[in-house]
Amino acid sequence: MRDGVKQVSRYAELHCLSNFTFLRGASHPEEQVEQAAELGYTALALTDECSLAGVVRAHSAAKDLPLKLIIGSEFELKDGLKIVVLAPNREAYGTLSAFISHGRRGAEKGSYYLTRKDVEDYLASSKCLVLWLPGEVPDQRAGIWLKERFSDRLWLAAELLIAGRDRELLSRWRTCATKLDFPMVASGNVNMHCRERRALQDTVTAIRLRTSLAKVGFGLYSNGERFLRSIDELTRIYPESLLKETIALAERMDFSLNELSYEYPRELVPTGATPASHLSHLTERGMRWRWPEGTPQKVVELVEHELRLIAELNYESYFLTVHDIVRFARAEGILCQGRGSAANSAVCYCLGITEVDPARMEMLMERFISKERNEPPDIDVDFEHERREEVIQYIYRKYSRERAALVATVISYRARSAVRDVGKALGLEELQVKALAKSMQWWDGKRIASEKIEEAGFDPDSPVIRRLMRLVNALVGFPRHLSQHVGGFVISQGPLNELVPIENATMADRTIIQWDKDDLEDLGLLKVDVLGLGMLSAIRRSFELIRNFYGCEYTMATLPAEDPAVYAMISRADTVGVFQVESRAQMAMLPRLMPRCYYDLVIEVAIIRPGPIRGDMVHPYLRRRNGEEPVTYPSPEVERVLERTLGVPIFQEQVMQLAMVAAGFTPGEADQLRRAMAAWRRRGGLEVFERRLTEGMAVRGYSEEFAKQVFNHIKGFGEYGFPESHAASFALLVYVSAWLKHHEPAVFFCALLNSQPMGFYAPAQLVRCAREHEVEVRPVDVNHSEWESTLERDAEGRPALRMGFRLVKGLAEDAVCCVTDARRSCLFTSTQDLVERTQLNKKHLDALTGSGALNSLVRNRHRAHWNISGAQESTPLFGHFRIAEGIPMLRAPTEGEDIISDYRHLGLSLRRHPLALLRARLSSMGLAKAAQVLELPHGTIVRAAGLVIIRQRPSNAAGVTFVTIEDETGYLNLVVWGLVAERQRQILLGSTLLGVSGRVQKEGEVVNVVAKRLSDHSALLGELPVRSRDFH
Amino acid sequence: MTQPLRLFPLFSGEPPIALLPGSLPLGSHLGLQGARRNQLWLAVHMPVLPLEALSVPDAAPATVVVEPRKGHLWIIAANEKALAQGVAPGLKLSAAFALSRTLTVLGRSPQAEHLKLTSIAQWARRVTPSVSLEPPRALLLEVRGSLKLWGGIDPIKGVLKEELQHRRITAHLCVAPTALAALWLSRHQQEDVLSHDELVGRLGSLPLGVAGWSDSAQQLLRKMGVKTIGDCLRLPRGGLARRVGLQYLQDLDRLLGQHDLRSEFEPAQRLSSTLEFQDEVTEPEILANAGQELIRKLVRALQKRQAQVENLEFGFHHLRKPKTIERINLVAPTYEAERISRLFLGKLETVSLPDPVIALSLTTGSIEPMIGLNTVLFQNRAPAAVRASMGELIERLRLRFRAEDIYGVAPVEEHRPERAWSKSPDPLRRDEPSSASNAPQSPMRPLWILPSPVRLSSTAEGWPQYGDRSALRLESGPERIEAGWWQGRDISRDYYIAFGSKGEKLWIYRDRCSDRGWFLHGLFG
Repeated sequence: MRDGVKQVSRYAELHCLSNFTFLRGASHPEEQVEQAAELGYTALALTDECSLAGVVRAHSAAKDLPLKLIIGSEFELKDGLKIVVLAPNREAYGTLSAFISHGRRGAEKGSYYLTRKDVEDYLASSKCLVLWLPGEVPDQRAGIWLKERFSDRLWLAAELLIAGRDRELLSRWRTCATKLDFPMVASGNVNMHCRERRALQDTVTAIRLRTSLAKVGFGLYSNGERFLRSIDELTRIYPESLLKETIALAERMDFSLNELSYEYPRELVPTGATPASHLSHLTERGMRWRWPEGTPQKVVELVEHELRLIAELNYESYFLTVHDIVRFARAEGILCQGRGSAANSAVCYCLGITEVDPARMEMLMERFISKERNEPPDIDVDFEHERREEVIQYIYRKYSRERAALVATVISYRARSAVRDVGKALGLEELQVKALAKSMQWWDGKRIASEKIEEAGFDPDSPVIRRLMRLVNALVGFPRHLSQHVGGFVISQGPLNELVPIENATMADRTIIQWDKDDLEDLGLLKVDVLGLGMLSAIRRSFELIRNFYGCEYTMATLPAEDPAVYAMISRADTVGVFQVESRAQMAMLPRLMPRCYYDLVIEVAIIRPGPIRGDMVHPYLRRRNGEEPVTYPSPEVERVLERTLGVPIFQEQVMQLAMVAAGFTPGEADQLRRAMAAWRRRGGLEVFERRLTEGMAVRGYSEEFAKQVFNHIKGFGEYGFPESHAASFALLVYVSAWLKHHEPAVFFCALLNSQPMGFYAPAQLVRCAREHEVEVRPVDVNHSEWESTLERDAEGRPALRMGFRLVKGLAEDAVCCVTDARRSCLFTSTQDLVERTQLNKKHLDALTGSGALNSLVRNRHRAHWNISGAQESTPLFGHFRIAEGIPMLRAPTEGEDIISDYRHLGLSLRRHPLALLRARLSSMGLAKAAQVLELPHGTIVRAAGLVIIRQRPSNAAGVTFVTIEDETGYLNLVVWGLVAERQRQILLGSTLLGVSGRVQKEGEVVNVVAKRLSDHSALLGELPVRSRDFH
Repeated sequence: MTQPLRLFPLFSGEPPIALLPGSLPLGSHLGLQGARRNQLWLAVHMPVLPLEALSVPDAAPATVVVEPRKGHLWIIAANEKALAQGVAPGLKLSAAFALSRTLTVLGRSPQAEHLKLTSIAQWARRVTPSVSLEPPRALLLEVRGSLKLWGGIDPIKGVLKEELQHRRITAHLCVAPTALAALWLSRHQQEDVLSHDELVGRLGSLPLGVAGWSDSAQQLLRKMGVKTIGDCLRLPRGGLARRVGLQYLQDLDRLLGQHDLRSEFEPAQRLSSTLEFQDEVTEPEILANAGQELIRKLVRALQKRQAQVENLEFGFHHLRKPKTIERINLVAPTYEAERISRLFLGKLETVSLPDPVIALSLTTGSIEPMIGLNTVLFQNRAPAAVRASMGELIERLRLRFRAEDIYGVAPVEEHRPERAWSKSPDPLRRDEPSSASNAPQSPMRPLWILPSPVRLSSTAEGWPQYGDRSALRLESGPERIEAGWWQGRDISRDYYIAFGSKGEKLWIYRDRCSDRGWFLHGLFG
């Protein structure tokens, strides 16, 4: 009896779509897998339409469940045939992946194009199994066509969805299948994991069809039966024979993503050599390059040790691949710097992947890669942001598109996009949707609170809005489309498209794989990150400027190390423009941290991050460092892990090691913990580890309090934890940029201006800071400027900074060429002369005039505009002819007008600060200057106002917003607590000239004003266009 | 037959049909006023018209009207409450939301504004025949000729202000010797300028914005430090025209009194005519004859104008009672006497007159130009002709029944059976059936759907019963239909085709949402 029940009550779903079939599926792959397991299914095939984008997630979810995951894909051919293709083994999987790649590469991004011919070419002689979805009236000829090609690898999938004619359909299909002699299986055309997703399913359908639910009509399914139904229900619907055949088919499947293995390209190794011998050869050559006078014995030993470790783990090819990319960049003069777990090794220093001298830092490679942890090595290489594309195209060229592709980034629905789409689907007016979406300012987080809905003029309790909210909350996090990862590359020895489907990215010349970086990590596949970093562009430019101005050569490795003057500047928080430590939060920390050596910078880079801040690690560290609190360790093991950070875990690696030494995690578990840390904010799932950690620590005699504390650190780290290996590389850039700023401010700011956009500050602040460092900044001038900002010699022979044309808005580089070319013979003497000798169009002339670049040619800007707008372009027949004109009566611009024009066309002005003009007015309103505020004692109540330069809302800590305002005397840093921000958020967000009344808060040298009330004085500014840089 | 008819033409001459309301005879609609000296222009500037045209009640919360421009929504008008919160025209909507948390946002309606503007213009023709529209929100009246009649400019302004106030329109009135001067001054809410000599001085200080010039022209001028009209007037003429464009120079010339050619407002045309009887009339024949006479005249007038009508109104005037009105709304515009006559005679049969009739009037709705004369050239009953005769049938049916009782039926793309069709007000319009692939092959549907489902009792075992209390035999099904949650009324039903004991074929369903009860929803023929 029991056996009999068991016999029929088994089922395998062979046709199931997830939300990676964008806007068709209404459940995550994980949900599908978990629900199928819950219902006791034997197997589940994830068959997203022409896509394998969701399979890794499903695979990970199914790993620990008693459910077999089958990989497959659904296709609708252009010449009319609907099939599901399933992969029973590795070879078939490769075929399927290549077939998908073919369909995707031959069509526009997001779609595919496949015909029967493609099926014939790719699948007919493969091992793939095929389900035929015959539709309501089976086309026998199609059936015969399939039968001829797939014979015993073909099934007819009967999908009964309670549409009223199930009996009729079943007998029709049965007749057809009998006639053509192929077996029939039951499948469910599943779109969602449970019945309750019907509303969302209907909604995404309406979104896909770009209409509203009221109008979509037959676009919707007539019922919500396309979910994972219980086995009881299925036994009622399907004849037993079909269910049995389904199970039989599922049992033929013998493939798991675990079988995917991956080989690094072999061509980097010369014939006759092995990867290991080649790597050690290159490393030796590198040692001679780095230490021409002989390598220190310590380094030689370190290198040997590392090479042994690399050989044990078989990572040689990975290092060789990265080395090859770096070698290319170096040959092209592109500055780059590696970071990541393996990057800060002696081997990488010898290979030129990093500039962090191993002698400068006691770093053990095991700290970063270990054979026990079994995690892939990770080297991210940062390149100059403006030249990264050259590197990317080199990789495509070298390995071909069949073997190299970018990793995908899954773009998911966020609150704002979800509101927009769901709102339209529910039939809200365009204006209403706009207003709703508008009200989601950048800091609203992931969900819509009902106040925000009220703000947009809606009643949050109305049924429509409640429906909207429900759907939006369900839709947030749904994948919407695949985009390209910033720079993650997968390169393989064999054809990549047999490993994972490749499709087109939006950008021409880019191809991406269908998996994102988490997917790769889950499968243990290696990737190389080719990233862009603005500071590298600025540093390379600085070295060039130094070479041209002084004739001396610097590199990141040869810059004088550990200069106390540089650390003194950093400790003063004089760090505008300096890499990484220029943000408000960083600046506030520097005077307290007082970094004195390179390793202090490593800590500084890592500690002022949302992770450590949220995990409450900053203050304990500071107290311990300042000697206000004893440095203690609960055990010698923990001491070994935390010694270098005074007992406070600051780096991601430390947390993992802590879990290992204190709670007895295996290296594998620690790695799982690391990944769970990265994902818990999105997916949750840390609870298991909490129990494991507390128990493990209790067993080893640690207090519960300590365990709790460690777990809080872990949670705080979340996705923001910073690995020491990255911090070490960044710290070098901090030092280099600080050195340049301190010793060569003109060079440094010139390079920064030429590398915009990058960093935290706009050109206005950079120029201001340069002038504070006694750099003479000269205005844009049509007779002296180049496209980029340049260095000229001031009266004493020191470098002065001449602003370049690239700072002028609306000017194109090629247009400016004709200016610099034309003036080579002789300088321009008048506006007419300029117009005659260049081919500048009106728009460019206008931009130049507005920026004040013509001020040396003509009396004032108004006259310049008059002249330029009346200037005649030359005609082929007469050349230039001049029309005699009366002299216009134009008033001269006021200083305020000139400043406004400067700001409009340059975003900055070398004249007085705009607030200097308003000072009398502001003083009469009782508003103090920034410089005055800085002198006030702690606790004083003060009123002040300034231009908003930066609004920043770090994602940590209680909704504080940091605002920096500026007046003619300096900057003021405001702290706006959540309550004030919420009450006055419109003023906070909307003001250009922001007034504040609040209390002065002084801590050491750091002065903040804690805002009590905000006010908007923007109207005083008239037309001044000042833009804040907003960060969150 | 008696001869009771006396024509009462409002206008002498042919046709005895009046243009309503009192527009000028044809041919004079383009008034060339040119540079007549001694003109005096009254500008009526209505800054809040975009809002007022939308008839927002006074009690409404803070409300703004917005218009999309350059990818943003801009506020172009705001009501008092919005203004009090600092939301003013010229702001971006996003900026306005920053100021006011609850803001009702309305889209601009150019049609409503135009309607409002023309209606005021129509009324303003009482003051002077020379009215021209200055869309989007102003009118210009040439009032020199009317000064005597009204006894000066102040009474004219007074009567206008009163009317505008009555219509709840905010307006600023300003008088000047040239049209543009009046308009620009009114935009800046300036006092009247009555003589030419004052003009230049008074205009000089006006800001550039009042001219309503293109953004690019204004920007260019501002860059040169030109901020006022006076600054403009000081510039060399040739230089200005070369830089900004000739039309701006012409504007300045017209501002100071050059030729100003503007087209005058012409109201929409309606036709009307009345026949007065010498005695009180009760005989239908007389009324019929009179009506046909009016129709013939109407059709002559229509032919003359190459026009047709869609809506007509017959007025039966009584001595002691208010007139009885009968309206005829055609299915499509026509100019055929026969067709209108037939409908009129049909009306005459059904109309109940409370009193004898002393006059019969015929007034048209607005007449529209004839598009493509489709007079029958060959006697060939083309589909269009069939349509036309269908149209006549419907018109006649509508005479007999209530007009709204005659409607067409159109299928609707919808899974819920009760919503799968709709009444179409125009029985002739048949939507093209939606593409076949879109419509699912659903199982059989009954011809008759009950207005609302009827609950069926069920047997102890839960089977549905009908009529003689015997259980129904379920023939086929279930067909599960689930839809409609987005309208707040989700349905989830299993439909079956069932047979009753007497062989009746029924369409029933079991409700899966509530108590799983059985319902009868339709009957097969």
